[in-house]
Amino acid sequence: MWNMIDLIEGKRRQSAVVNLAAAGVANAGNVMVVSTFAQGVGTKTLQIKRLKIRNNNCGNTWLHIGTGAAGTYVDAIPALYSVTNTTDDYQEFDLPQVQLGATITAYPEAVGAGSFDVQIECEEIG
Amino acid sequence: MGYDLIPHKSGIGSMEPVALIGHNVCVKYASDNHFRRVIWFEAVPPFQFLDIGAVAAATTSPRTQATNLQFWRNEFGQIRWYPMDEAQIRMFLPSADGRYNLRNLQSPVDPTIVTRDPDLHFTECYIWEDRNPAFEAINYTGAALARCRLVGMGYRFVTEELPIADITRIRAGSLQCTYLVASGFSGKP
Repeated sequence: MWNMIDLIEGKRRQSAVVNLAAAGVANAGNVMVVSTFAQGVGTKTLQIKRLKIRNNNCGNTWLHIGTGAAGTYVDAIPALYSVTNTTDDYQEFDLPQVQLGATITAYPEAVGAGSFDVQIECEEIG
Repeated sequence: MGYDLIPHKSGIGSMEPVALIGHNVCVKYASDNHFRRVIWFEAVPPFQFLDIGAVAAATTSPRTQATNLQFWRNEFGQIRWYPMDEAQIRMFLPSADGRYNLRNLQSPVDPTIVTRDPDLHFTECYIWEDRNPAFEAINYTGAALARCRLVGMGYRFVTEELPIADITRIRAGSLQCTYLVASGFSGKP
């Protein structure tokens, strides 16, 4: 039977593949931009449902996922450890379903001579 | 008609208009009885009508007017609603009168309503013209809430006044009329 149980779920959105070539919180880059132009009230939040990370010759290091950059940066989830030259895939089951009311940003603690590719799939709610 | 349209009706997983074009209604607001005939109506799909805003942990927000739920003159709305964020929401209509009242408790609505009452028919309320409801958010959690969003949906009805003769027939019980409550009632002692 059809019902309204799914009403608090949102619309699935996918980010582009974002390349992070610089280390450190000051270089936190936008990965998924929260929507702010909906008609009416339209306050939106993002819940990360899937996260794909490619460590391209950065060395073993930590990747942070959160909101803001530099002095305003806040981790949304604990930093993820990434082994050099590997690809990691986190799904909803692995990710605390934090609701984020701002654009999702990310930064690696180190990049060596390489860079990170990050792609996020979110549910946008509201 | 052969098919009943009644307040708070829940068909199989759906919402229905409380009246159709040509039907008589009496919208009760405070001590006023607005006897009207529906001349036009349309659906209002689900939309976010209010963000009460940030609420500190274990705190109740100020009572916030939902002006997005106002209707034009001679109109009333039939609205069902639910909260999206982790708060208990108390509804007031008008601002001084709580809705969903028991003798000792005003029943709040929280996000679990979408599983406990998937059709939201217990939340159904009627809004006369610009007499919009107001809402309070009770953050029952130990963490601050950054936002408190409410989503509503329903129908908008345009009406015209009924002639006195028809109102007399309605009061005598010889003409159909659906009575709708559009404000709170403090109860008789």
